[in-house]
Amino acid sequence: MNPSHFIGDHLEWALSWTWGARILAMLLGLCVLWLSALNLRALSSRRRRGTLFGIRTLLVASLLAVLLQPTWVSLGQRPGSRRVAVLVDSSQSMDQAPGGRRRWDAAITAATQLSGELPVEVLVVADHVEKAVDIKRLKEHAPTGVGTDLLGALGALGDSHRVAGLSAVVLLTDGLDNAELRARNQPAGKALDPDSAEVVARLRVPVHSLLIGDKAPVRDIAVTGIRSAAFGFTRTFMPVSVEIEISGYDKQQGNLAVALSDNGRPVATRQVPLAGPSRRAIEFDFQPLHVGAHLIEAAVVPLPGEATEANNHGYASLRVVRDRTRVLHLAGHPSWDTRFLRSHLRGDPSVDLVSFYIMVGQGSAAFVSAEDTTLIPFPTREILEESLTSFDLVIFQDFQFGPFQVEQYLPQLRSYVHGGGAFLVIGGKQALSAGGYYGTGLAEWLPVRLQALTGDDVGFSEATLNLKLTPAGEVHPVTQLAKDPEANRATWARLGWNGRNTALQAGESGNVLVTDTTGHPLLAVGEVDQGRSAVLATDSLWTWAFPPTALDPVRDRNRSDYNQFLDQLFAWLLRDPDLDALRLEVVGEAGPSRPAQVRVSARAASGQPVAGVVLHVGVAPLTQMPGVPTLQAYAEPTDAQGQVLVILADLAPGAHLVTVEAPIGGRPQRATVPLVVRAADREASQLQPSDDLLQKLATASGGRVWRSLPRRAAIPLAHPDTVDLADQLHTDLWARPQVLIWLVMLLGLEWTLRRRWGLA
Amino acid sequence: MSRSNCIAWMCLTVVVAASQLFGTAAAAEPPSSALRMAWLRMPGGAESGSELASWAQEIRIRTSIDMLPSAIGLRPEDPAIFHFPLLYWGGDRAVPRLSDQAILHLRQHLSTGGTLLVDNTGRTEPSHAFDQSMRRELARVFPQSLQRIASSHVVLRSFYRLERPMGRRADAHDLEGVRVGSHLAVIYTRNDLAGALARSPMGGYALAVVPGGETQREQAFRLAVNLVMYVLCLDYKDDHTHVMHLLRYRRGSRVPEPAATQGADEP
Repeated sequence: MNPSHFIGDHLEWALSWTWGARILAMLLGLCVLWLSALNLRALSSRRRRGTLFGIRTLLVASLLAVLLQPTWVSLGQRPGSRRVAVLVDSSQSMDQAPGGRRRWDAAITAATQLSGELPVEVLVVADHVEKAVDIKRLKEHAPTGVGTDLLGALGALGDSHRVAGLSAVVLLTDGLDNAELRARNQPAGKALDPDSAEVVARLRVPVHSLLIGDKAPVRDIAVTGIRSAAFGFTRTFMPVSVEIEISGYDKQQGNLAVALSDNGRPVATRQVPLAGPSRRAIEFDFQPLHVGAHLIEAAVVPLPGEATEANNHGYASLRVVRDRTRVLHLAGHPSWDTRFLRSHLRGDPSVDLVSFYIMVGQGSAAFVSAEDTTLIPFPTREILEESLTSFDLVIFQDFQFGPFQVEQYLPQLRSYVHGGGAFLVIGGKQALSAGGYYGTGLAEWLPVRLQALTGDDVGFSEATLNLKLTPAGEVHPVTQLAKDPEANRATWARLGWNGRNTALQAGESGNVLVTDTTGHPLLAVGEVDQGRSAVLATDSLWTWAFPPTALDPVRDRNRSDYNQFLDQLFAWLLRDPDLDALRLEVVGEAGPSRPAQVRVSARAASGQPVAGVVLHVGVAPLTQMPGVPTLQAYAEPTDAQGQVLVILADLAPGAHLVTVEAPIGGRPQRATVPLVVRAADREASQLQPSDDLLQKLATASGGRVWRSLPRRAAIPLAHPDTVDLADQLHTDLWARPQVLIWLVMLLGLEWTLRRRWGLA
Repeated sequence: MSRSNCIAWMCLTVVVAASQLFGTAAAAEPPSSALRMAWLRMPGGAESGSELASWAQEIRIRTSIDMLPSAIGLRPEDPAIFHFPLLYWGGDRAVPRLSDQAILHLRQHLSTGGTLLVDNTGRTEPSHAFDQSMRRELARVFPQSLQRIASSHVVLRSFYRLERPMGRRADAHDLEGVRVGSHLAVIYTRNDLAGALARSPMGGYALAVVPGGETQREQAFRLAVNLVMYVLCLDYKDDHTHVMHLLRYRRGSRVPEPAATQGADEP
């Protein structure tokens, strides 16, 4: 290479020794010279001594000089010209050809046209930047990129040495970025986000874009997003907005079904007309029914001819908590039991209590005039149809519902309980079989099996009852009145009830927690699909709150047992997470390069972590609900903190329900959590060319966005004049043969003279 | 006295003694969910009886409350009073100083949810002696004195709509009470409520009601019903003014506007 224009040169010492090493070498050289001087004293002639010492000095100096590797550096300059960087999008979306011509082919045509008018450097970009390619060999590439990272491509360009010689950047793309640039600019604002603007600014040239569109729109329906609050409250309606994009179907009549589901449970479906704006937001009112993690899925039914169905689903995670507990309390008649239960509920500031007492018996109506009383008609329809789902807990307390047309609303009650509601029956002479529940739909979701009344049995027995915990009751959180098992048994043995409902047995799906000493069920709880129910087969629980003894400590202890028992019963019915023995938490986001991870925590009824618990784990797609997945043992048990991280690899993209079972406290515990595995196919999430991000890049850099390539003169360029490119030439003097000849010559001369003058 | 007479008197004595024993045993019975009133046997006080049975009968006829027909008399020192959250104390004469144990029992009973209905049963006018001595003893139970109960209080509309309390007399326009926590633990009427309810052995009413006659007696019955209904329901009727609002307030629900929706909901 010959520099066309010499601008200067200089000498450099290439050896990278420290100064200490260099000084040591010089001292060695001086030492050699001193020894040489001593050796030359044998010569009598001063002239001869001086000659030999001079040659030796020259030799040592030359050796030191060679050791330091002298290098001669020459600088030159030659003229050059700035180029246009053409970034061609090779992601999978560029393979679309809705109008018959592939976007990729249109991009190649545009790149070829640009190369004929401007000095260009062509780079192929997708989810990463490939090295520069020859324009003639661009056709050998294929649009197979699994993502589009325009910001990454611009950043890589800005970090490379190429940026020094650029006059502009031209993006040939359909604008469907699905990486950082899209993520940082959601929701859409007017200007580019500051971090992306900084990347563009480093280029110091305009960023133009040619939007590679289609002659005909892609036929596709896509769920582009779900917008909702990050958390919600149980049984409180919250808005959920599903954003969809419809293209290619504007001339088609008919409707599109947009369905919303919650943890696999259908919530609502809306029919949306195909004609209309391409981007729409479909509003839903969503009422979460239970506390915990929710996975909201929006799905559109595929239409014939859609380019892809991979973008027909969208997901959003939601955490639901409880603000106030709404309790519906229906009492068959005023009594001490209703009085003290009411006092307990009213004493809790987090409870919204709606009560209805039947204050007039069937035979009493004739003696009472409605005008003189404050009685109101029992609003059956309003509370059991219109407002039922707004309640967290429904209590039937000694309530014979037959005369009040409640039976026709039992299907709604059934749906309420199965859908996640909590239902409690408190006994008495008008409840359970005594109240005509046997043979009705209500008996179906109780945790006890009711029997028909026979003989003299009126369904209720007045007798003093001694209480006994069953094995299930000894470890159930509802009946833990003391942390120590012995103390808990003693507490229940001390407490008593008077009167119990008869004609009932343990149900197949229920857990009997408390019996009398002859084994008759008194307290039973059960799971009802997503809800829970409980039966307290007595009307004398109130005696704990007003215990028949004057002694202070016992009265206070009994009263606290009353409040504690009710609190625990309600917490269990309402699925208070504090009572869950197993807790599941999804960690991070699962995707093609990251397996799903669920952290499992195991706790005993006392709240202490349980180590060494062996889990059984199963995963099933949410669409298969309510199926029970096959569970397999997980190799790693819980650690000393009662936790273990369950790794679930190789899950298919989509929504799944993870089920974990484990024995804790001698009882099988089960917990579930939904999770979504993001699809690898980011390119399928959006298919319609879009210039929104390209416009922002152009605005931030002074560029343009075109839909067809303009003439060369209409393409703004930065720094149009030529620029000097500097060259450097390094010459290693120490490696030249002349240096070696010089050293050999000095050595030979010294040796000859020493021999001639009699020195060894 | 003849031998047969002696035997008869001995049998009668045995029967009376047995009835007392059974009565005591009954008092020791565990509390039933059915409401049963207990009346306080105070030193030197009159025995209550038929008026409370009449009271219970009206409750059973007019309401859905399961109330036992007979009341039981207990001394306040008797621990059995803790079987009965509702106590009745009627009197028409001065009450001697109650024992410390009686005061302690009453304080415990009323502080933990019990209710005491106090009835001034003076025949021609409220007994001043009973009024003063009762207030003296109540002051030993609770430091706060009896306060007038407003005419808007839920006790006057817990079942019937009442403008003022009535009894066999209509001397006092208001009830008085002592509030413990959120409820009235003591309710005092000076109009001889039980007197309006008392029945004669022949089945009729034992005492005339003045000045309003039978109309006033009906008002007295209604007050008797309201008092028991209040004890069991507390402020339930106060809630009712808000219940319809609570039902209709669905916490953030959005009523769909037909013009704005994209489509119709499907179940």
